[in-house]
Amino acid sequence: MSVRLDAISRRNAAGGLILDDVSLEIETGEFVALVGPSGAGKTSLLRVIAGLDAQSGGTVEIDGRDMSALPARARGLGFVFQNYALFGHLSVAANIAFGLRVLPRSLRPSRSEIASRVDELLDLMQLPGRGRDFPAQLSGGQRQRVALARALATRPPVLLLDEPFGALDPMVRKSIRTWLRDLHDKLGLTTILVTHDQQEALEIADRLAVMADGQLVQAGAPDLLEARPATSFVMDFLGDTVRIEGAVRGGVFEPEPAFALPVAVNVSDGPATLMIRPHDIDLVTGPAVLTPLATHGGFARYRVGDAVTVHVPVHVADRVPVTGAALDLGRGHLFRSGKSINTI
Amino acid sequence: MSRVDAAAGKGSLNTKDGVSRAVVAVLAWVLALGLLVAPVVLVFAEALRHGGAAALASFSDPDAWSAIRLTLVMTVLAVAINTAFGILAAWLVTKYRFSGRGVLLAMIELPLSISPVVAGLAWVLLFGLQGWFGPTLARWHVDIVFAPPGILLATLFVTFPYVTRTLTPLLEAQGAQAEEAASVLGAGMWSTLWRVTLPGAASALASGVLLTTARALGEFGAVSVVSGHIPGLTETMPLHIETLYNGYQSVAAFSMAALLALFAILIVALRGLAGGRRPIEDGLA
Ligand SMILES: Nc1ncnc2c1ncn2[C@@H]1O[C@H](COP(=O)(O)OP(=O)(O)OP(=O)(O)O)[C@@H](O)[C@H]1O
Ligand SMILES: [Mg+2]
Repeated sequence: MSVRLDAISRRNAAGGLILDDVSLEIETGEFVALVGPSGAGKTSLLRVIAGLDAQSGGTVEIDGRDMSALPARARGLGFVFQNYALFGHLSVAANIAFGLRVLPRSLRPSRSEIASRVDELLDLMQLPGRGRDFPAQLSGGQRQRVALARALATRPPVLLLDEPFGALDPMVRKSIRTWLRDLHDKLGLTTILVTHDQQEALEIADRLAVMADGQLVQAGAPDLLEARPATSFVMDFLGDTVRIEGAVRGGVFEPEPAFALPVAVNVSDGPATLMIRPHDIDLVTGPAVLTPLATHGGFARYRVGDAVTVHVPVHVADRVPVTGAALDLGRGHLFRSGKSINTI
Repeated sequence: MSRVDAAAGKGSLNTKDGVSRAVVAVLAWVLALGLLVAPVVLVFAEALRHGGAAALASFSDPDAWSAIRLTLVMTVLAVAINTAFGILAAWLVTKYRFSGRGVLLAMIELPLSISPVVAGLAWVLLFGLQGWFGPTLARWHVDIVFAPPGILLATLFVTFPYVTRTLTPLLEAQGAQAEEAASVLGAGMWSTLWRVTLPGAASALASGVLLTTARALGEFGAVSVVSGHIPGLTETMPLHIETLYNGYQSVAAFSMAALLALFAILIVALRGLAGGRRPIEDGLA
């Protein structure tokens, strides 16, 4: 089912904007990763979509229907909380079965059907035989999987996940994300996943939605974001960056470090920050001392001066000037107060 | 060398600690035995002074039976009503922020600080023959004061705070997360209360219900004022004990007192059982 957010805003009790005019369309079957720094409003946005908090303005449409008047329980979405929120007094099996047991009698599966669906989900979550345990007896990662199973039990068409893999170790995390993506495709789900993990976002999602300060900064496929990052956060989030301070004067960006070459740009005068991937930096002959570092992942790495690390693909490493170097930053992005001012 | 010293120091500290701990423990036990257990033992001893048969015989008096019956009926009613109201009140004050909430919280605690006699008098003022609603009630032939309904009202008033008081802090601590999880899973308000909120607070609820029961069984002051002390009709067990005692029927008085004490002991035991189970951490995991 499609999810359409139109100009969502939400104020906290003190009147401050937690969500500020967020508009986003998510198509049926799409997998969107919602990323952004802590406090950006990711959880707040999921809660508005789920109906746990009311928006102060704007509309939430699911499958073309305006959800604004419906309470959370009537929206039928799957939700996994940032801190699991399992029912401590219920066994794992009863936790998973909860959404089925509270269905109206006419829609509720029989006892045996519920039991078999719970077993199915336990197997799926690689928790076979743990149905009788209580949440307090499980590890953090196991609890997260139970929370996921509980959300999936009613087969909701839309899944909202608030950092569901935070407590998993990297190996399990990797396998469960592939598994989740497969499940998403198999069940034809529409999924919004909040994550802090860049690898996870890039690997699992069709599209990233980046939030900051309650606003949706940018949404798009990873390569689009990589090509035109709207903010320095987007740039930072997507990979390693080198950050060079400087200023624009008369159509030229003049970097502060002496070993970086000026770059012609067409933006107004003023202070600016240039951000660039280490592998996008070209080395030319210049004044800075070049210190070779260990080669890693197909890149020869050099330290230029005393701060900047540059990655040079191994096959062009022989073209690196040995006498001394300067940085050609022509492939970087310029930002002012964190916002993109131009692609160079 | 230094490690040995450290261990020795710790050892001496432990013995010093141990001594003072033992002193405190002995003191606590002496106080408990002297102030709490001895009176109860004495009551049983008085009841059995002329043998078990005499004690049992005192219960064959119809007034005694009527007192026991009245007490049990009043207790069951008061506990049922106040449990329901107490749950609703606790739920209301923890889940919703509304104006006047603080005042409501303070009012719920009022019965704990008001003397039961004053509470009883208030009911008499309201519903007694000379009271505000007295004439109206008399015209409709409804007896409240000097009749079981008055006793029920007095008991309800006195026992109102216990369920709310024990439940509120736990519900506060439980927070909204479990209930939110229930609601996104499709559970309605009552389903959430029944399946999530209350089970999460089960031990506190049990404790509150048992406290209510204990207080309802033993209430004297408020009931004494509204009941009119009519033997066989409006005398509960505590009132009947007083009547017997004032009439120099000491074995009967202490037998009834012993029975009341037995109820109380049972409740304390049940409460220990309810509280002693593995506590549910905070309803969340
Ligand atoms: N109940 C609330 N009352 C008032 N302010 C709140 C409330 N919940 C969140 N906020 C504020 O809203 C902003 C967004 O919070 P939110 O929890 O949505 O951030 P987040 O992006 O999920 O962060 P994190 O990555 O740390 O989970 C924060 O500034 C926070 O202080
Ligand atoms: Mg969050």
